[in-house]
Amino acid sequence: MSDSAGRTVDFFDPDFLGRLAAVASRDPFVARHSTLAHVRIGFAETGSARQAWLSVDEGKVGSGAGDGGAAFRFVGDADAFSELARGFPFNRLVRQHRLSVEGDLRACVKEWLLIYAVTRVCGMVEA
Amino acid sequence: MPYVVTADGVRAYFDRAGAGPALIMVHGASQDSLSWQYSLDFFAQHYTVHALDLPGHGKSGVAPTGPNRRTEDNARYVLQVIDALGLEAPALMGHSMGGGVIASAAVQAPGRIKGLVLVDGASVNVVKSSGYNPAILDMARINTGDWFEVTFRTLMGSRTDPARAEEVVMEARRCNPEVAFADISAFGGFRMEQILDAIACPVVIVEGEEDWSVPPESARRVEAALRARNVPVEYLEWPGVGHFPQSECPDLFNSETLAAMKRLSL
Repeated sequence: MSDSAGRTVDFFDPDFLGRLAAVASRDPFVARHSTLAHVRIGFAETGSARQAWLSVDEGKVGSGAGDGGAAFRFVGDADAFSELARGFPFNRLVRQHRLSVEGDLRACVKEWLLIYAVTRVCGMVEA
Repeated sequence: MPYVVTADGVRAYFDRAGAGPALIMVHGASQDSLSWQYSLDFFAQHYTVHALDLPGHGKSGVAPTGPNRRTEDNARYVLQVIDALGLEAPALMGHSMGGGVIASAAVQAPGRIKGLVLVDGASVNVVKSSGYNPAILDMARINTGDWFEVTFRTLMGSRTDPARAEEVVMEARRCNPEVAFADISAFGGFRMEQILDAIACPVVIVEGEEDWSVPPESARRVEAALRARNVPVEYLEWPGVGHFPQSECPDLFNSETLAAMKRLSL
């Protein structure tokens, strides 16, 4: 699927996730909200075996494929992740019931602002 | 001193300015009277404005029964403040959750309210637009402060000055999380569609085109329902504006809303 500029964006593409992590690691808003943070955010696409994770360790953001040992993961279909990759806010996808949370819900919501900080960077990543 | 004590025993704070017909301003969820800071002085040139703090917000006390989780209870509070101030037939302006509060007040006290101004507060089918089912409410309760901050950040219109957006977010974080969660419960549990047939006074509907919490399709449904019953209505909708027009674009909000109020003789 393409974004409004015609760019192809695949959230689970390791190259996209790597660039997302690099931009997020330089982002002041992420830095502001990641003091002493050690968080791993999981993602899983329904209808496929695709999984990925993003980690935040005191402002340094990492990424990878697979389960990654995350305590919680956002689960949704390909359309939901396509929108997330193009910068649509994750919380709106949750409120629209297009992304759900599996695993430790409390751990997830405790990190709500940091998850927003990192995932909003999707819209800043060059395809 | 800018407070009264309501019949229910709540110390009710308000900002007051201006002279003329009475206009009451009611803020939205996790906010307080400061949310009208860019409108108070403008409307005070035409009205005696009282910008209220709902119970538990700003400088108002909490009700003896705890934070209000029902819009109808916040409406009763507004009517009790009006009684305590001795105001005759005020117009009511309510933002977001406050829109439901003033609509409910107009239904609880028909004939006492001159008119309504619903600022991104004409909410029908709120479960669909806001997603607030029991599971989502449980999530919001875990970390209400962050929940509101993320919600507010994503509710800003695309034309909003980032510094102004930051200001709105920082002000919202001052709200006690228990009170803020009560607001979510009140907003998510209110069904304006169930009381629309009982609203008889003139209504101004103000809407940011990019508001996803109280979206334009909801506001247009309220407009259509009121017009079908020949209730006088003015409808305003602005592109590039989100959920907080009185903060995002106060000059536009003030001038066009006032003009619409005057067209309805409010």
